[in-house]
Amino acid sequence: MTDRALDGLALTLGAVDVNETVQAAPARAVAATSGDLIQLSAVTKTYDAGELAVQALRGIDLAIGKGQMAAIVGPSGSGKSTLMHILGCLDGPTSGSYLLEGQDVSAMSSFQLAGVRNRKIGFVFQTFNLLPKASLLRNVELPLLYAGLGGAERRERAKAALERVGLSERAKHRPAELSGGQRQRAAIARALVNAPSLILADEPTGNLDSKTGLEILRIFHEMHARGETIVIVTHDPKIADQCERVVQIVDGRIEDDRLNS
Amino acid sequence: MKRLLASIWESVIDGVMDMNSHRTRSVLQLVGIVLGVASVVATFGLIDGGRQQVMAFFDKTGGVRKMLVRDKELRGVVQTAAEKSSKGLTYDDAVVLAREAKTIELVEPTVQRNELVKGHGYEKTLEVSGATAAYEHMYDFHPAEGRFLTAEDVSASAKVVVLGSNRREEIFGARPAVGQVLSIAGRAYTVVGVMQKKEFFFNEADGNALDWMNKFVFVPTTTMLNRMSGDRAGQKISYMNVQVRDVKDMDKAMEEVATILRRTHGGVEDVDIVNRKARMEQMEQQGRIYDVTFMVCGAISLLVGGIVIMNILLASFNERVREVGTRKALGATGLNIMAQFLVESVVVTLIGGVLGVALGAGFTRGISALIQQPVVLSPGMILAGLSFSVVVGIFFGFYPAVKAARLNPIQALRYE
Repeated sequence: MTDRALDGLALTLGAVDVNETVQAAPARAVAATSGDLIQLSAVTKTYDAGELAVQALRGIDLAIGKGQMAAIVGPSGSGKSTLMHILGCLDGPTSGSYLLEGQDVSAMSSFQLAGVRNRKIGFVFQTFNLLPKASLLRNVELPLLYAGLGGAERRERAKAALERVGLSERAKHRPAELSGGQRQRAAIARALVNAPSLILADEPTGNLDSKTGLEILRIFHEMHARGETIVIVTHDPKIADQCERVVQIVDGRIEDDRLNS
Repeated sequence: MKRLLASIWESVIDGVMDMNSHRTRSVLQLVGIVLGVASVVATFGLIDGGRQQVMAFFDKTGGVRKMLVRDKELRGVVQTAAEKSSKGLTYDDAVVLAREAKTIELVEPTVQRNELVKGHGYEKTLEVSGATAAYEHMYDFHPAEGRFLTAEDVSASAKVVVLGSNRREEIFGARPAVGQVLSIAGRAYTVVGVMQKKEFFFNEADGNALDWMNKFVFVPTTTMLNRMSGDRAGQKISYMNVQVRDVKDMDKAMEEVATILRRTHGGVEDVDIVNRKARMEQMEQQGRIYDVTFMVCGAISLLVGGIVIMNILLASFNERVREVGTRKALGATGLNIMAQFLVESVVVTLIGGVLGVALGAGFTRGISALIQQPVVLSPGMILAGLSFSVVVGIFFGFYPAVKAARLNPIQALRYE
């Protein structure tokens, strides 16, 4: 049985209890407006694991405005990873709708979703996920390659993105020649290079020491200050506290949604 | 379309980069293909070389349109009266054939006998051959000095002689030959011509395979029959060569020649007609058996090479799952991933193909130097070697490519 199925099993067992809590306290810090970048309505996700249908998300309504910096937090098995996958268009919801910049992506084919990921979403992973044998420049170019851009323009934009994260000196280096913090900065440059609507970071500081983690967070703040929309999935309350908005997921539902003052 | 081409080109760069970064793996992948293509190229080079030589030899000795008509050795104790009265092939048979057979272009009746050749300090018994004017055209064998035998020489049974280049050398050395007189079987013959030197080398060690043609002493066939033979009425010839107008009519020509000769021989079938085309076809068929055998061997080695490639692609598949997940998250479609994997295996096999052709060419050179036989490296073969390797690349790269393209991005990203 996979981890996912185990997560879901836990959810199913605890279902009744959670339902009541959520209905009693429907926390809604930010109201959905037409200007929202992300609009999830009644999104559910059910995994079909053999005999067991596992409900990872049980009705998520969430709106995130342009330029917001939001943290999605929750214990492991809460469904926050599933939510991130749906937000990142890596997976579609079982039911409900997802509007990204007003475009319904919930019923798109995997081919169309690849295009949406390419144009609108920049991913930052916990484990950086740089191609080990390619130079930083080549790594950062990758999303532009899939966007079908020509070589000269790719290089130019990739260099500009590396400069934004302070790595222009290292463009020719391979990831193995860099520190963890530098690698994550390169990954951020890669996420930025396509000028996406949404930066989606999955535990971006999880593999870094706390000092380097703060450094990475500072870059996110800078990006936020320039108007980027950033969603960080984390279980670290210290990271969440630094975001302007915190959405807490428990057992496949939004348990809390607050703005930090 | 332009975008697709661009993305394929990028896949090529990606593929080459990836190969470059996994050098040991790539070398291992290459070995099978290199050896497979090399063995195919080498064996076909040798086979083709041999075949071309045989063809060239055939061309130099009368081509495929030639057939040989000779007396059959009659077997059995009891012979009919008709069989007893038939004299076998005669000069008249040749005359009738030349006149009547529509499918025949040239008839060349010959008599061969050893006679004493004397003159200018030379004295030796040599084989003297009767020939007609047709000989020159049938064998594409021309005089270097003077002229060849003419129709007039033949009809007049003229006492003229044409020498092969070796014979001229032996008898006259550096002195002029044309216009000189030689004694053959006690009579005076005027030398009217000397033939070109005829050469053909299967390999250097075996020497000139056509040297026998340089040892000819030609006199008109009619002169042989009328002035040298005791049996003038018999007009018996040794054999004749016949050249067909069109090689496609070979079967028809054989039939026609057989029919005419049966009639002139009073209904007795006492000649053999040996068809060069049949011999060629037999050789072709043997050649095809070699072709198929080596083709199968080559295909097996390419198959092994392909399996090695697929094996290594699959073995290294797991370490690339995360990479595929990352690429998909960044916007790669299944098609992009599939193209990347396919291009990679095609690049590997194509490089293997190029190296294999080079290695195969080296092999054939070496073998040809060793056995002193020319080899042929045709552009077609090189192309075949390369396209074989591309096909192997696509075929064996397909499964890993589809497998990679179908990976679920979420699971691929999670893969440890």
